[in-house]
Order: sequence, then structure tokens, then C-alpha cells
Amino acid sequence: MAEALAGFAAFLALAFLRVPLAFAMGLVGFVGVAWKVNLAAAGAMVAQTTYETGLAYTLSVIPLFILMGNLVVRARMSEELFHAAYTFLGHRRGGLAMSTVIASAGFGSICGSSIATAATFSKVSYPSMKRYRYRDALAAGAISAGGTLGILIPPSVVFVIYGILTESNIGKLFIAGILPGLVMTLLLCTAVAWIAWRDPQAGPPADPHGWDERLEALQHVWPVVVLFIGVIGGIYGGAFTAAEGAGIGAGGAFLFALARRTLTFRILVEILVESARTTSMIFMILIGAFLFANFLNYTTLPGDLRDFVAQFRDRPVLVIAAMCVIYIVLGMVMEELAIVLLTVPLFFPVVISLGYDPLWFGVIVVIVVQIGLISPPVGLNLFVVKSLLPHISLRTMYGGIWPFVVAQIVVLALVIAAPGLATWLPQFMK
Amino acid sequence: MREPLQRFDRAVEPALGYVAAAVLFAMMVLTCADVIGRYFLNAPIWGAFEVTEMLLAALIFAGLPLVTLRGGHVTVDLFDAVIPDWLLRIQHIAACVIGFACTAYLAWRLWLRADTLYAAGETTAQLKLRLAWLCYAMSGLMGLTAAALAVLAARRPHRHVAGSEQ
Repeated sequence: MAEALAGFAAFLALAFLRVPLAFAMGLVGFVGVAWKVNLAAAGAMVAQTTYETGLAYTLSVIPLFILMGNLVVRARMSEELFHAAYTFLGHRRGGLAMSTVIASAGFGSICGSSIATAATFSKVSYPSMKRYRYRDALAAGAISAGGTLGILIPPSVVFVIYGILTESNIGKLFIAGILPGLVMTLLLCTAVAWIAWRDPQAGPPADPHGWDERLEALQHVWPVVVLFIGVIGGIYGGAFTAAEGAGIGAGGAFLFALARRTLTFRILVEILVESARTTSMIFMILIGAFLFANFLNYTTLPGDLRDFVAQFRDRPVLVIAAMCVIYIVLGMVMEELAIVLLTVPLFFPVVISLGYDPLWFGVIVVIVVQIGLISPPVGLNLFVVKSLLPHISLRTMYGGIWPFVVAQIVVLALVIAAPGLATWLPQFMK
Repeated sequence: MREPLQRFDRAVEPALGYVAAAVLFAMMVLTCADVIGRYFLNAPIWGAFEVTEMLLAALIFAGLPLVTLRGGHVTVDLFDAVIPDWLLRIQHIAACVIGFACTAYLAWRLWLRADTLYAAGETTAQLKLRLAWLCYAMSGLMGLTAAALAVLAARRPHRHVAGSEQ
């Protein structure tokens, strides 16, 4: 136990020294194993882990989904999604903000990154909201919160990472995210409605559209539908694995971007290099986390934690609630990827020992990450929106975000209370 | 912006960028071709699985010096907005030195592993590709990442302040 705590302390010290988290985790893992076993074993372990993580076929899902996301951003499918939602809802109070949330959900079904989704709608839907004099607090809140749907609705980079850490089926995790994703969309829209009801000036109604315009707008959304059905449908139906689905999705997005003439050779190279950089970044931190987890497994911490939790065996929900509180607090001040990589290897065996479903816990983890992404002061999505809309102050954004945070916490509670939301759909998969 | 040792970036970034781009594109095409071949032509591509694995390794390690040079690693930057310049500078140099030690050591260990793979004549199962060469490449690119961190140590740190990124 003491060694593990010393390890965590050393990791935190290095992290606050501004050492990249990947190196901080890897270094502590290496020194820890060298101490518990010996230097030769630690040296062999780092080479082995690095080499094997680099050569793991299932992990090809990461670069391919990242590439798919970057390509659909470039193919401008977000604009048609927003326009279609807008023709249906724009005339309502707060309708443009609801349209942003719904279009983000649609975009999330072909893009696995919350940051990319939030960045996209900062450009796509903010100008319309500005035109109709929406308050910045509502506009920025809807964009930041809507963006988090990118990781709950499949595909999702966070589900992929959870699947890798826990050796769960990535395809099933994706499917588990669908129903909670729809519930989340609904609740975020409810949050918008509540804000607009409390302060009618926050989101004034825009021009109404007739049914002919609506149907016309819907027809332009077909590429998104094709990509979603092709990729997620293919994974659900068992036609291909998640890694293959990612390749098909990237290929499809490439063809759509090409057909829409949004790609030049230069832009394509730029997208590919950008995706490669993100991939390397994720893999380094993944390797660091594996090394750190290796060290923890040599300590008594995992066993101690299981023993400690065993006394709550008849009220396991208390343990889950405690974990959620830890996640939400950590999420306020820490980077979400690091939280997942540090905690999931530790929490997962405990949760499973309490008899919970691995897919269900995956959904819980993704929802707490979503909450972390928009909860002040350190919310990555807030920062992304802020960097693209620099005239909105962080204070305004912090003030406007809390109804959305509450909505997400309600979804978290719903999924804890009704695990079927997460586990019902995946059970039909082969 | 003039930074010391710009020549290093000019030598490394374009070359590795094209390599990484080509590798990722190849991965995408190969995966699609494999699935299409399996379903429509009843002929999956022989060895696609292991080529994808090797492409993945090449992609990660080719991207590593790139992400390092851009300062793209995930870092705790909570206090960047408040700490004074001199402290930031010390932190930055310390972080680069630690990063250099980690990556240089890893490059050396990967090289030893490549030697072992070479001596044992390890190959992939289907295509019989020599794995040692890939591992030597991984080691070399890890070494290049160490060099990139040494270069970064000589440069001024980038302050990450909330909302100022990108």
C-alpha cells in the first residue's frame, strides 16, 4: 500500500513539474518495478510493453477513428446537420441551442472526439445564434455540452481507450453508448429549454420553416446516415470488428470529402499528419499508463482496495457513487484522458468484483469524463470553445454551463439506477 | 518566430510528416481493401493483419518526434497562468531533461530488443517479414524523439493559458 501511494505521490510531483504525463507515469512505473523486482526486469518490461503496444492490431482502431473524425470535420457534414435540426426547432425559444445539441449528437455518430465536435460547432452554429441575439452564455454552453456527445455516441475514442485498458469488446461498448447518448441529448435539450424558459431573452425564437423546407434539409443529411449505418451498423451486425469499422469509416469519410471537393493534396497531408500526431500522443500516454499499472500490480494496492470495498458488498451502489464523486472532483481540475488512464486499471477490478457489468461501467466512465470536460475551472471543452470564440469570457461560460452539468449528472444517475440503458442493446450482438 | 536550432525542425518535420501521412493512408486503404475483398470478392488480403500491425508501429513512432517538437504531449498546465517566467523556465528544462532520459533509455532498450529479435531471426507469421528491422526503426525514432527533447530544452517554454491554445 505504502509503495503504491509513494508511486502516486511521485507521479503527481513529476506532473506538476510539467513533465508530460506519459513520461511521468512511465518513469514511476519503471522505477517502481526496478525497486520491487530488479533493474533488469524493469528494463525488459519497458521495451516489451512499448514494442507490443506499438504492434497491437486491435489498437489500429485509434488512428483510423481519429482520421475519420478529422475527415468528416473537413467534409463539412456538420453544416447540413445543423441546418436540418434548425428547420425543425429554430422557431422555438432556445431552438437554435437545441439544434446545436441535436446536430452535435448527429455529428457524434460519425466523429469520436468531443473536442473536434465542440470545435466544429463553434464555427457552424455560433454565427446563427449570434444573428438571432442569443446570449453568449447559452450559446457557448450548448456548444461545449453538445460537444461532449461526441464521446458518448459511437464511435468514441474514450470507449476505445476504456476497451483497451479493460480488454472489453470495443464494438459492444460503442453500442452500449447509444441509448445513454440519446437520453443525454434529450436532457441537454431540456436544459436549454429550462434556460430559455427562465430567461426568454437568452434564446429568442428564429424564423419558422415549412415542412417542405424541413424535408428538403433532411435529405442533405444522408452522408452522415450512410456513414453511421455503415460503420456502427456493421459493427453491431457483426459484419466487421471495431478496427475494420474504423478503417471503413475513414475510407468512407475520405470519399465523401473528396466528392465534395473539400480536399486538396496539401489538406489531405495536413489531416493525415495531424491524425498521426494525435495518435502518437495517445499511444505514449497509453504506454506510460500500462507501465504504471504494471507497477501497481506488484504492490498491495489492488488487493487492499478490493478488501476495503468488500465490506460494502451488500450496498455496492455506495462504491459506485463514491467513485463518481471522485471522478467529478478530479474532472474539475485534471485532464480527462489522464484520469481515465490512472483510475480505470485500479477501479475496474473492484467494480467487476462487485458484480457489475463491464460495459455498464464503461458508460459510467464516459459520462463522468463528459462532466469533467465541461465542469469549471478546468474543462477542456470550455477551453476549446473559448479559444475559437475568444470574445466570450470564461466567466460568462462558467456562468452558463451549470444547467448542462446538472443535466449530465441526472443522466449519470439514470444510468446507475437503470443499468439496462447501457446493457440492453449490446446483448443482441453476436 | 526565431527559435534556436530551427534546422532540426526543418530536417525532421517534413520528412517524418510525409512518412506518417503515407503510413496512415496505407493503413486506411489496406483495411478497406481487406474488408471489401473478404465480403465482395471472397478473397481477404493475405497478410493484411500483420502489415496493419507494422504500419501502426511505424505510424506511432514516426509521429512521436513530431508531437514532441510541437510540445503536444499532455501536460499538467494548471499553474501556467500564474507562475513567473524564471520558474516556468526551470520547470521546462527539468521536464525536458527527464523526458530526454526516459526516451533515450527506451531507445537503448528497444535497440537491445531488436538485437535479440535479429539474433533469433524472428519474423511475422504469414509474410515472413523480419521484425528486427521494425524494432531498429522504432529505436531510431525514439532516439530522434530524445534529440527533439534536447532541442526543446534550449528553447523557451510555451505557456498554456486556459483558452489560448490552438
